Amino acid sequence: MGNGSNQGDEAGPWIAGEAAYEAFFRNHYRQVFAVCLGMLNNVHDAEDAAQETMLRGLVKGPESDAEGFRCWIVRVARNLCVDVLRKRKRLRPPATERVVQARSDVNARYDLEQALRRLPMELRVPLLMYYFDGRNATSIAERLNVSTATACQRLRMARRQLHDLMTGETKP
Amino acid sequence: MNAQCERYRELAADVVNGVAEPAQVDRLEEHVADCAECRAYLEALRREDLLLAELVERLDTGMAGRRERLVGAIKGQHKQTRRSMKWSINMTSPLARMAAAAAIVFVVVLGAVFFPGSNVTFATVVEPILNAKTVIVDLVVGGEDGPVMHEIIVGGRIRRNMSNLPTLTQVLDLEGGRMLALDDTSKTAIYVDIAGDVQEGTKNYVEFLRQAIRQVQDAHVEGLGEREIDGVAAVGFVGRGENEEVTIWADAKTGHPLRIELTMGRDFRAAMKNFQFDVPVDAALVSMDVPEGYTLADMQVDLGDATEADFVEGLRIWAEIIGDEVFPDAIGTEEAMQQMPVLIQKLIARSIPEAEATTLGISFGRAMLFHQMLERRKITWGYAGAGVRFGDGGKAVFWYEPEGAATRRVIYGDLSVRDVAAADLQR
Repeated sequence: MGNGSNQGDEAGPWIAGEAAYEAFFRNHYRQVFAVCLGMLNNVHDAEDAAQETMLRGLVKGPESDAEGFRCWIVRVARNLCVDVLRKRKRLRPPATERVVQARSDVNARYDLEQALRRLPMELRVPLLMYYFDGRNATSIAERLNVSTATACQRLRMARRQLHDLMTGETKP
Repeated sequence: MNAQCERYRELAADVVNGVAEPAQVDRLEEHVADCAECRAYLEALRREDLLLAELVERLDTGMAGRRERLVGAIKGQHKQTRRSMKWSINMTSPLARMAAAAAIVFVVVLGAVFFPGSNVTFATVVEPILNAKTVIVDLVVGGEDGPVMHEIIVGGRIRRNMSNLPTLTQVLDLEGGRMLALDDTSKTAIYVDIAGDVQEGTKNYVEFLRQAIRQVQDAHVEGLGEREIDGVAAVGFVGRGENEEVTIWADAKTGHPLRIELTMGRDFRAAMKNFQFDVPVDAALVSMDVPEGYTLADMQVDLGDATEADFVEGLRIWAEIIGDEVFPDAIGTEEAMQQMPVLIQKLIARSIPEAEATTLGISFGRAMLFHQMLERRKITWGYAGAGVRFGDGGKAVFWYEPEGAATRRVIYGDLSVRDVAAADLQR
């Protein structure tokens, strides 16, 4: 329309029916899920947290501007995940042993998943966001409310540490 | 591996992340051409990059199945929370009345002349349809997801409901140049003066509807062949005018129009469907009298010819109130219709007094009328306000070329308006 496209998207679904729900999901769900997965390391828990986050986003929506909202919803996701992590700690004692991996008989895919699990959370979150959001460092920076340079730096560290973990070059 | 290699490996990570400058990429390429270790490192990072992308794709595929259920669950929960919100709005009837006033100003104004030069003859078979005393039709504004206007057209009267503002009804009297707006929530009625552009534009819309049907019947247009529309074999035609394109699908057997798609200028898209001709319509539905149980609001609403000043005020409302200090990504009839409920919500959220809110709603409507007039008069315009902060005087958000003027009118982010030579507008 006109010179731009129709992008009432960032606002919430209270606008106009089913299409708006779809737009809301399209704009936020993958990123929210990426954050939750990065923090919780478990698809099932991440989906639960993402669902709760999206619901809070829907309720909050009308008050917020687009940029602030993108950041806000990620903050909500992180806070919810912190709660989940706290609960987990209470429920089960911290893992004293790591699953010992027989490196020789696992394939690269398995290696990657294991390495990803062991990657520090503050690096895993931006790395997953990167892949869930069309490889866009600027968007990650905005969502995490950090500078683009910081986002790039974390991505760099994430990639390098992941490599070290996969090749066993990590220092204990 | 030397001390330099460490720096190149950092660069390798940046390159794989796609955040390196072209010159840096070149430098890395040069280095890895000579350094086998760093070459292996870069290749490993690229392999891992592919593996990560694959992993995310797998997660995505796995999610797709659950996603629908998830969306459904969230929608359900959200609708519940919304119901309680809506209830609180119902309780504050003055606000609902305001909402009515704010929303009524939507009158879609369509262009006048289609397919210039086509000599339409009235085939006998279409005579009853063309002379139908009543036409009922759904007009979908924008894409399939756009708001739907349900129209009951009886002679010079139109009763209109919009899907995104379900409690509102408009009754237009095209001869008298008046509109009766009804808000079902607050049982409030308002008369609106629509003499001028709105009256003319809407008249033309009705005439257009008829003309479009004639086009099909006479097939003075390009054939599109056959297709099934809602389970019915249909024949399609497309006609192109100077500023508009019309596609019509009609029942292959009876010629009854099934679907008419319009593109007007570059701004307006709509589809008409669910046509009914000459079905009995209760005269009360298109009566200009205030229905029983409704209170006539004491306010003057004038939707006469809109001006640039109206448009500027509308831009202000759009940026400052709807957009929270940012200009919208796009403007137009479809966007405005979609944003109207948002405007109402925002006015309520800000506890803006009823009288002021009403004025704001009317201004917003008048602004959109001005914009529709530009299209209708084939005036060239442009919008570049996406993401511009409200108050930014350095950025042009809108321009248009008044008929016969050597310069363009340019509206900036601080809502100042200047005449600018076209050549100076490049920036």
